[in-house]
Amino acid sequence: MFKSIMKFIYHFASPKYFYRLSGKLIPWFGWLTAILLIAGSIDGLFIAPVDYQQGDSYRIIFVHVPAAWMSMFIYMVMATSGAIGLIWKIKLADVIASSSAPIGAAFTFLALVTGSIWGKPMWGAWWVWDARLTAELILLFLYLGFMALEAAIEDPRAAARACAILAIVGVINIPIIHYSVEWWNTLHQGATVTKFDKPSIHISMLIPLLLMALGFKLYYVTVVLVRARNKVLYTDQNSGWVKELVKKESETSLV
Amino acid sequence: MPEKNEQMGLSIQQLTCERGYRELFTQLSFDLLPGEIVHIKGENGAGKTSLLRILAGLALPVSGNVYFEGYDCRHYRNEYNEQITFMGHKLGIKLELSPIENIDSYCQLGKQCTQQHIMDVLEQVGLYGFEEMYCNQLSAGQKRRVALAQLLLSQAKLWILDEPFTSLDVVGVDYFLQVIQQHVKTGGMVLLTTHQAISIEHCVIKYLQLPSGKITS
Amino acid sequence: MYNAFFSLIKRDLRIAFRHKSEILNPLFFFIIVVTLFPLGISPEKQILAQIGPGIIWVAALLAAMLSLDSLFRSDFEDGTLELMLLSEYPLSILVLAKIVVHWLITGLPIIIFSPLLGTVMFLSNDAIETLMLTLLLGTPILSLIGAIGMALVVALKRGGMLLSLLVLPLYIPVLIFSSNAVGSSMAGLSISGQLYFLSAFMLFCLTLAPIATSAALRVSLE
Repeated sequence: MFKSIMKFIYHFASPKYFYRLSGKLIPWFGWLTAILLIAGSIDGLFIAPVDYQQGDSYRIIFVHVPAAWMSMFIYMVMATSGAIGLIWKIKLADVIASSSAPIGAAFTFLALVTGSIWGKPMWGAWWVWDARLTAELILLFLYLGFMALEAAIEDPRAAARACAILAIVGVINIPIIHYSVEWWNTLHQGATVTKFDKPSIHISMLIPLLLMALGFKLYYVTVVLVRARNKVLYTDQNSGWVKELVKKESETSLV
Repeated sequence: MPEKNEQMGLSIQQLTCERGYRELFTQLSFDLLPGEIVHIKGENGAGKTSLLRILAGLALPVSGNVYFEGYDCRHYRNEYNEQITFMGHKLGIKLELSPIENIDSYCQLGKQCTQQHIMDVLEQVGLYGFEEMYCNQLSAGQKRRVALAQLLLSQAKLWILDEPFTSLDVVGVDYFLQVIQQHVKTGGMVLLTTHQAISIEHCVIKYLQLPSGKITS
Repeated sequence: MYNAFFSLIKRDLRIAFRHKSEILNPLFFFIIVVTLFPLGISPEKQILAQIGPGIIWVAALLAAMLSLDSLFRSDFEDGTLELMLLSEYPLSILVLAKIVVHWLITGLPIIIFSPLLGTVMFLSNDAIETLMLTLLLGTPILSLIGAIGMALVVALKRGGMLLSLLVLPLYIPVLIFSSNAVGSSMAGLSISGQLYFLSAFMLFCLTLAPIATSAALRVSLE
């Protein structure tokens, strides 16, 4: 039973199959992302009511909060797929981990920038050493470390395995870092949306927030598929199917 | 390892190795039985060192397996390490320590040897009178001899030697060849790379050509 | 196995004592960095007493990080690290021995000299006591986590900068809790919470870091 499951996974994760499948999926995810982001933006920027304390400036949370969620989520994905690559030697998992890193770093950066823009009217300063912003900054350092390590190791397979170890160590440390930073400073508003049973934010604000969050997630999926697809071609350049593909492509482009 | 089949030796199956995205060799298979020497030949960059490092368990192949006495080496790493000894380009000698201290700390990694034993072996390899000096005062050839002394004490069945004769003088090479011959005669196995032509009497030597993987006797 | 563990400790200590600079340089670095702050900020007692705990801890952090090179670099270059990998004993035990030695030659001198620095930064006696206690709990964590980072970059020619990028973010919890504990004891507050955290974190690292380090070494030496 276990063996047949593994066999199925190996088949599904084979670069050739992945290349074909992702080629079919990318347009779907891409359009869905566009629809969700447009709907979420319109709802968030124009339809959702004005906050009685913060006025219109609160509307940046429709970018800030999903970006912050994504920054954590993508690090988890990196660590998980890194571990899968390390344990079961599935090449595709390594590819996913390494193509996720810059996207995650970008989301973290976005969360930091939007956080500080949001902070300007709230705190009167571009930067405040608030717990969540600081934790986000440290997360950015973790991403940069991952990318720097990957760039420094020449052999791609060794780089993938080293980065997987780093990501796992990082993911174990993230809760500890978060806890200590939170403990160090609790200035920020409490977590408002994670309590789904009794949301303290109004439903008319929650809907655009969730729309944007889903849009961001699908955006990530789309981009990671595109990046992984390119990377798979590169890492598998010696295998028959890539050579065949290149031959076919060059033939059609000649015609 | 629970049970052993003494006859099986080392078996390499369908080994493929890449460096970066460049393929070094593919689908390499061969066997090494007790009492045999495999001399790996090939040009620079053919993958000789990579192959030896894979066989020593230091590097991972892209695909393929290495079996020792019927067991997959990757799953029985500690047991496999007991059976092999590896001499690479780097000798594994601390320059701040004397030959005795070096060999002693080598032995502590899992070999049994007494102080007397160490002294005997040092004398055998021609380091009598140098035992107490720090290794940074020894010549390259003498350092190689310290590594040779470690090899003699290792009690391993399979010796994996990467360019073992580098910087040894003629006498040293001759002595090393005798040591190898002695080891093979008593049922040991040797895998080695060298650019020197070597002749060892009364021994089965197979030649493995890389990257083709062709075996000749 | 215990034999291998202790003989490796003995060997590395012997080498360290033949290269005394390996012990002295991190210590001098630690002292010099702390000295820079009064010169750069102000010699005023009140200011120094306030920023002293943080400064001493940051200096300890940097000293521990910069000395990580001695952990695996020379073993990597002369090939003894390969022999360790090929030992029939679990690599994590051998790695732990190396970490213990690193702590003995860098962490311990820092702890011994910390009262001196606490005094020049005008810390109270209670705070100096806490400083030593937090260093005792915290510097092993620095060696343990640092070993993972060092193992990842040991084979790289210019790994120094990269190492700081990898390791410093992971040092942050130690910095936060330790310097806060020293500051709290200056103010006469309870510090048991911080000490519990540091102890727990140290035990946590002690169990997991050697495993991660040996996995990283195997990748690096490939």
